[in-house]
Amino acid sequence: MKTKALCSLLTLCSCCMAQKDGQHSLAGIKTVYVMVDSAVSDPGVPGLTSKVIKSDVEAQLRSFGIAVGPSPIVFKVSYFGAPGVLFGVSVDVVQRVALLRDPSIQVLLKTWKTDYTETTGVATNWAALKWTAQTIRDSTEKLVNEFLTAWLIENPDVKLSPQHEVK
Amino acid sequence: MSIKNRVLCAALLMCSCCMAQKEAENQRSLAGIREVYVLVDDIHLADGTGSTLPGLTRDVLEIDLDTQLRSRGINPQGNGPLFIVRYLVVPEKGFYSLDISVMQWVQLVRDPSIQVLISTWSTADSAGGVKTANLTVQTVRDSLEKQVNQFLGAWSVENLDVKPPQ
Repeated sequence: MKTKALCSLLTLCSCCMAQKDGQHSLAGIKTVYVMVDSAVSDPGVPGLTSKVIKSDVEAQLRSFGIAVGPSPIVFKVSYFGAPGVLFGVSVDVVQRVALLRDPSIQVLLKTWKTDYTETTGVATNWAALKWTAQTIRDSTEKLVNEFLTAWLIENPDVKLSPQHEVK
Repeated sequence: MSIKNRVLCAALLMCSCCMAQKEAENQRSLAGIREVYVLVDDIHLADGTGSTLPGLTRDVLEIDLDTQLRSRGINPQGNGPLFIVRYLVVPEKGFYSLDISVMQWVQLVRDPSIQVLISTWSTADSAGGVKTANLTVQTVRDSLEKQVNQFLGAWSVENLDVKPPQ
């Protein structure tokens, strides 16, 4: 019995990992507030500002029909690292949740997240990483695409514009 | 102090204030926890990075955890939230990373029918990876102890009524 419980727990865990933790939390999202984390960001890369990233991300989200503006759902893009050595990019969807075991406990949490993993692991050749404004913008775009893929799975009723339809 | 240094200090202060606020918010999710289900995960990166350190096994870390949690009155083998310890060691580079996540089922406030299992508290933001000249089993065990203490510190603030067992 104990083994069965453990197996179901492990299956549950691996299912959750496979579809990325919290993917269901993207269901029903129509509007988000885009926030670029400038407190820990501003990597000091020539040509890159939080405003540029915010504008890129907002355009990408809008092109898939996600409205951008005041919303309790925060779409947070963060940067960290040291110029010329290492940079990391992450995208978090932050929403208010209630614990199932005690719904009176409500907290604001990351319900979905993704990041550029090369920078968070133990890359063997950090110094060789050549980060420019364009590579950071491209990495951010990839992460937002990852979000959009997950979001589309959870919102199958969304009508895509012809440019995004899968042929 | 130069203007540049002042700006840097202000940014760091703002950053630490934001983190403190965030931690306090997440800390509330630890209220009412009396039991957890411990999972210790030895991770490897996609490129195969990560190996073992002789003498460092999940069992060793599980026993440490068990003792530390029980000493404060938390049952580590219960049906409560998942208490996940993930660690990665790369002995040849003297590198290790270790973090703790508490995962719980939550429902979205905007739509309670949407329920997900997510990390409600973790040390991941503060832990990071560490490069050390002398990576031993004890280094990793000490790191675990420090992070479990971090959890217990936050947990005890939210569970003032729990008395440690005699």
